[in-house]
Amino acid sequence: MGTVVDIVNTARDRSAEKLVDEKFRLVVEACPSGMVMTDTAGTIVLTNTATERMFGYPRDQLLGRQVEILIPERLRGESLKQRAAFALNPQTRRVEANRELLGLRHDGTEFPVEVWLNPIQAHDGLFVLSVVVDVSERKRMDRLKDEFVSTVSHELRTPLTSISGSLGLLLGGAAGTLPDGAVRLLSIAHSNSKRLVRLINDILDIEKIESGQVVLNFRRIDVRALAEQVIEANRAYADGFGVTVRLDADSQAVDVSADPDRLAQVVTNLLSNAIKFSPQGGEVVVATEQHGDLIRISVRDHGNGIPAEFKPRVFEKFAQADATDARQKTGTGLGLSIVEQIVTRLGGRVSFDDADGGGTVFCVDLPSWMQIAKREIDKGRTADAIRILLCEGDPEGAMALREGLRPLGFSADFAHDPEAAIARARTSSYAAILVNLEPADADGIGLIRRLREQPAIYNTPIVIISGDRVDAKEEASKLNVFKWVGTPVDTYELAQVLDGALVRGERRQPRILHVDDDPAMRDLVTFALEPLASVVSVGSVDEARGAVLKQQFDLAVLDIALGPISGLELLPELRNGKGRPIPVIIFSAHPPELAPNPQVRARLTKSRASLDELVAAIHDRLMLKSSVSREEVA
Amino acid sequence: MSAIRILHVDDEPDIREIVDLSLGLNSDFQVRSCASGDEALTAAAEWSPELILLDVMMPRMDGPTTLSGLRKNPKTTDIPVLFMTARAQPREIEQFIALGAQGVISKPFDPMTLAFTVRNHLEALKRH
Repeated sequence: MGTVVDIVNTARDRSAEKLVDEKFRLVVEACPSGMVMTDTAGTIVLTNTATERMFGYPRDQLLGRQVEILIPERLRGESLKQRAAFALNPQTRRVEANRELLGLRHDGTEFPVEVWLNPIQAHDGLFVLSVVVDVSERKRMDRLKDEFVSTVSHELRTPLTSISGSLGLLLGGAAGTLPDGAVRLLSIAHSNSKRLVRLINDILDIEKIESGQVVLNFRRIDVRALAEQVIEANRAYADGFGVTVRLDADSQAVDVSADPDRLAQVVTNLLSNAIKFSPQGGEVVVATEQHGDLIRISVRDHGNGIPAEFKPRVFEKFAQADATDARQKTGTGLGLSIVEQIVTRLGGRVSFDDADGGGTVFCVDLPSWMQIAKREIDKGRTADAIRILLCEGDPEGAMALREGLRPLGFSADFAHDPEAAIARARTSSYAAILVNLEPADADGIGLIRRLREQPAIYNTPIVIISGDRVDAKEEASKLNVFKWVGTPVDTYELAQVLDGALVRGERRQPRILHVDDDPAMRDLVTFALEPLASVVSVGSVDEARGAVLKQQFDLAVLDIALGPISGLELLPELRNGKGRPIPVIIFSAHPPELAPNPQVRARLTKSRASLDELVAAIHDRLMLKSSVSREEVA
Repeated sequence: MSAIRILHVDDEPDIREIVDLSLGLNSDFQVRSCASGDEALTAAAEWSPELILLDVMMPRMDGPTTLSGLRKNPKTTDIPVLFMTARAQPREIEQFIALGAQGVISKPFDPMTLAFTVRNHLEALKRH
């Protein structure tokens, strides 16, 4: 009897289980996000309707396949890394990448996604449930919002220029003397029009910072000198409030790595805040000092202090302790929010505290320049890592790139400015050099030109990191730049480019054939050209013929008077494997007049042209040639 | 001493009028206004102003394009140009200078001191 009951109960349990299973299946199917469950090897074991719709695959084409088919090829390396990292530490989390995540549809189109990973521990092993959300629409809305804010602000500014201009003229007496009452009313209108302008400027500023449009141009800056400049620039403003501003006498001249314009904006905002909230006759003190590896800039006022209940909201947009008070002080409520955003982007921190004896002190802490400089040499380099030099002003960006490249077998040293880049490239041997062309005014092209002037770096592959500097492309093509990599940088793609550069770099030392019957001249030319290329020197026409048969040459330097034979006889025979003529520079005591011949690229007279000129001609020639071959490769 | 000829270019009629009034505060200035880049190119060639004040954002032909047009014509190539623009960042100012402008006056400008500012720019140009 008991057995029958058990059987009945078991059957009931099973059908209940089935019901639950069925419900869960329906939930998964109804979920508007894509769900893709994979085993630890990345094979898709379960998926839902939203995934089919989002990626355009029927389910049977997904099950049993590698999850990487849903990811653009260039991002698959990153995805493999993410998967490996997740297996080591299986916890529910959002996939964070230093670039936009993209999904790949069946038809080859791509779309932006957000992905959450969840570990599922089943009886037959660990599975990963990826929840995928298509964020194209959200991205589009963000872009529209950005454009809207920027357009509206620009459009508002034009009429405001007219309004504040007209009011200014009226108040200045341009239309004759006005009655006192009118002056008072016009002053109100005028000061408010100016306030509106400030507000629009701040909104635009914050919009630019938030949307990442602000390009930071890191330089070495002495913060005390910067503080002095900002104090001077704001002295008139302080006088208007009857407030004195001074630099603390103990301030230290210490250096940080930051964008000078933006850091000045930070100090200006803190200073004008302190001035506004100081009592008449009050004093504001700015100080700079070093605390270990950090540099602190502090601005102290003697105002009423920040009310406790307002403290948590100080850095919020449009946050003002007391609206009536703030209106009197003509603030926009955005200044401190801008400060916080900039300081964060500069790799620092802003904080505030009640000052001893009343008032508030705001502190900006930034990493010291020394600390940044110390980080420039990669101390975590392994013996077999390939050393590269990264010319990048933004230390945070450089660190991120170093860490991204490390697992891929590269060790990156940094150079934050052109001087450091050249010094480092001269003293250490790098397999490749990366140059970030952002920001646009940092003159990365000038840096590459200077690097290329160093004989030791003439052949080192240079890779440019750049958003879209079409203007620089032409210039760079003359400088033997190996490849351009777009921003934001995908480390996996960059590693592939570097691998390509290195493989090609090994055979890329150009080879020059020098034909001259004067041994002293052969030695001189070899010596002069050695940094640029490997030189094969021969003294006769026959030797030259032999050399051409054995090796490929990029260029030949040819003397004409070779004993009884004219070097010109050699011209048709100077050909590479596929019969392509080897470009020739004639370097002779009496270069003959020649019928135009595309093979002859230059004619130099030995007595007149110095070796330097020869080197320059060859230098130009090789550079142009390499840039052409680069394009062929691309 | 004859008046100093200044050509002002802005697509906004109101701003043209305000600049006209502001510069009129200095009796040494003779001001002519243009509403577009095209108009400015013609006027500059005919009238040979000593200075051009050029708005940056204008429909069809913007300020930088107008400037490059001025620089291409031998008759106008040497006329100093000051851009008038809202929110000139140091970096943007550098870019304008690189384009061949002599300076930037930011908008909104103070109408009571505009003439003074322009005068200062002219004197600085003379010294160079």
